[in-house]
Amino acid sequence: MSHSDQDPNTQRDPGRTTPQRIVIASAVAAVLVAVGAAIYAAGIFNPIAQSPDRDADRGEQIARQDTERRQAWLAERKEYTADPKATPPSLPVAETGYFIPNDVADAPDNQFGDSVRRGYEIFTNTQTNASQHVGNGMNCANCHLGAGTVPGSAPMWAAAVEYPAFRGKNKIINTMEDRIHGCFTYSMNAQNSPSGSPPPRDGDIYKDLQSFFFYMAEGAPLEGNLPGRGYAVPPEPEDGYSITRGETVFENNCAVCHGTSGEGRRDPNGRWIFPALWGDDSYNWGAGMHRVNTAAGFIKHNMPLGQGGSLTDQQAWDVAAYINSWERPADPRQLRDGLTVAETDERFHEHTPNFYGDEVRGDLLGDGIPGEPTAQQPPSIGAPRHSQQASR
Amino acid sequence: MIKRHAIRLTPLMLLSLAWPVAAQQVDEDLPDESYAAEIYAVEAEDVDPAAYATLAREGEGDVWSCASCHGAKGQGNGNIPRLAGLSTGYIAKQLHAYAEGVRINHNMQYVATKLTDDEMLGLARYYAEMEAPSNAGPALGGDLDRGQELMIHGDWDINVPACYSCHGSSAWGVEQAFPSLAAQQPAYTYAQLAAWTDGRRNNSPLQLMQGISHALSDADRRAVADYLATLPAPPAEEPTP
Ligand code: HEC
Ligand code: HEC
Ligand code: HEC
Ligand code: HEC
Repeated sequence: MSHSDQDPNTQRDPGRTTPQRIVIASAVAAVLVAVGAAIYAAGIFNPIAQSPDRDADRGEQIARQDTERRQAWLAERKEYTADPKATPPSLPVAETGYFIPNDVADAPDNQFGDSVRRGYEIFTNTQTNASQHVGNGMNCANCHLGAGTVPGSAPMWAAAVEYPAFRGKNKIINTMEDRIHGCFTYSMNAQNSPSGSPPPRDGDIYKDLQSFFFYMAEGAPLEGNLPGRGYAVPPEPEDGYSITRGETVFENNCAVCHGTSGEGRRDPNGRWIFPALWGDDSYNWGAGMHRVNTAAGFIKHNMPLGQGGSLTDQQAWDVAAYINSWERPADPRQLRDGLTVAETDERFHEHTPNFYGDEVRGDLLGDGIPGEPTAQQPPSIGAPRHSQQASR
Repeated sequence: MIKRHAIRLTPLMLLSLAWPVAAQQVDEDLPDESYAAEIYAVEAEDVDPAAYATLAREGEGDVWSCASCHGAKGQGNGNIPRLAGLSTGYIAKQLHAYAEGVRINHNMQYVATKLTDDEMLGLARYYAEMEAPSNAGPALGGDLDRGQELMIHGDWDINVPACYSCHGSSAWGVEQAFPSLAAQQPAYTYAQLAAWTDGRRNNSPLQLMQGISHALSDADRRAVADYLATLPAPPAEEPTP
């Protein structure tokens, strides 16, 4: 039936009184509300009824805004360089307040840019691009998330402007090269690598990594102490921390990725996807992450992956204690100086919260010998899927 | 030894658990989400996948032929997913999820409720051990550069880690719990990313995919679904000796 066929008279009001109309209208409205609520509850239209900001391309918007802010900062800097009386440029910061690093994809097309890109490759795939000096299953980016860009994950744009600096750990002035040397020694367990040591001093690995950090940090003030640096450690809970409670946190929130024995997981290409939390493939007893406080800071802000900030401070401390209460590669300083575990404990592990040299589950931690496996290891669940394919 | 039905939660305990932390059971008849795929994979070691080939290809009685929808080579088509090369544990976990209604899809719920536990395990291994080249390609007009960016780098501004960091360097999956996404049908991938936000899909360990799906815009979902369809298909799972 088309519109022109309609007799306007049939649409006339059949002569109801106003109160009648109100009653009918209210009844109809009530029915509509009920039907609407039922449809809503059934979730049929949820895909289209989502709030508009969820569908907005927020990721792209933020990226665009950050690019604009960096460009504005560049323009200010140019002006100031040309004219010292012009207003000095302010810091390029995102809406979150954090520094906006340069994006590696924008690195210049010259020798420096090449070095930046090589540094990025070393940092994100250390296993392949610095394989001679890596003695475990780690990549730098495993502990410095988002290729060293994420605030609260010890980002490299914040680190780049803080060296040289005196460090209590080795009681000397450390350059950035020293710092990287240290990360290879401890976090990457270089003692067990094909070459047996960190990259040779003054080599390209240091230069490329530093180019990469330096490029990201362009515009950050020297000794700027930028927010987001390091792993902000949550306050130690009043009741301290507990390995037993940590085990429950671990089973419920971590094992799905890192494995029930903290052994990590590889993909069918044999590449490490979930890094090991303890054991031979993990960081050694000299690494910063073996300290309960440092690990609690990292975990609180970054784990479970994609859900940083979801654990309570107590859970972060407990699980940090748990993962650091298992055996891992020896402290290289023990071997270097020919010390016993007890001597190493006294010399290097006294002033921080850690389990080095302690007896846990009847096992002396630090001697590099895991305890009786069946008694010591948490129950393991089945064989890893692609174990035979790893060499493909 | 095997961590079956790890922790039974009372409704009260469930209420007290803030998202997303804590042992997670989406249904009282299903094992903990974190361990389910590995548990099924261990259980499947005892079944012979060859014994379920006919069931998959031709169906039997109430059980529809899987191949009639998923294709003879398990490659899928349109909004019907590729099954070839997904892990045994993941496939079995999804069949149980349909059967218990924690994953909503009329066809698959009907199919899954007709299967016995052993059939689920046998069919899971049958498809996991199948290798078939990709028949997928971009179909949603997604921005492939953005898709690659999400795969390799993620987008930390919206708290999305790289898909790579959980699904593996070639998106071929990681062991049992993290499925392959490579060569998957883009319309299907796109539909799943929506399903986690509208409640049609409630499973996923630690609700990892719920968080990610919520953060991705419609354009992002198209982009990454199309990009994943350009990748080579996963290898067959090694048969258990
Ligand atoms: C096992 C985890 C882990 C790995 C792997 C790792 N690091 Fe670190 N890194 C740390 C910890 C812990 C700190 C100390 C942060 C703190 O104390 O706040 C740190 C600090 C740093 C710093 C100083 C940060 C600052 O703000 O002063 C630099 C630079 C650094 N790492 C570079 C690297 C490089 C390069 C690699 C790879 C060769 C690497 N890291 C691998 C855990 C790791
Ligand atoms: C969804 C998977 C996932 C979950 C769940 C998860 N992690 Fe991780 N974790 C990762 C990945 C992936 C990395 C490496 C990050 C990268 O390379 O981008 C990592 C890195 C780490 C690291 C630093 C690297 C190393 O091996 O030492 C620690 C420590 C860690 N996780 C602890 C935990 C703890 C504790 C939990 C539980 C509270 C947890 N993770 C839950 C995926 C996960
Ligand atoms: C009538 C068509 C049809 C039949 C028959 C069918 N499927 Fe499906 N299957 C689908 C559709 C459509 C989906 C996607 C559902 C969704 O969006 O959740 C699906 C999804 C699945 C999934 C989830 C895959 C993933 O990646 O998560 C599995 C597993 C599966 N089917 C297995 C089977 C098995 C085994 C059989 C035979 C017993 C079978 N299907 C028969 C249509 C079918
Ligand atoms: C933090 C870990 C994690 C990250 C990062 C991640 N995923 Fe997942 N994803 C999972 C897990 C675990 C599952 C399995 C869910 C289940 O068991 O039902 C999954 C399943 C999926 C599925 C369903 C596959 C199927 O066959 O039905 C899709 C699609 C998917 N993810 C897409 C993505 C995309 C796209 C990205 C990147 C933007 C991504 N994921 C990043 C953990 C992750």
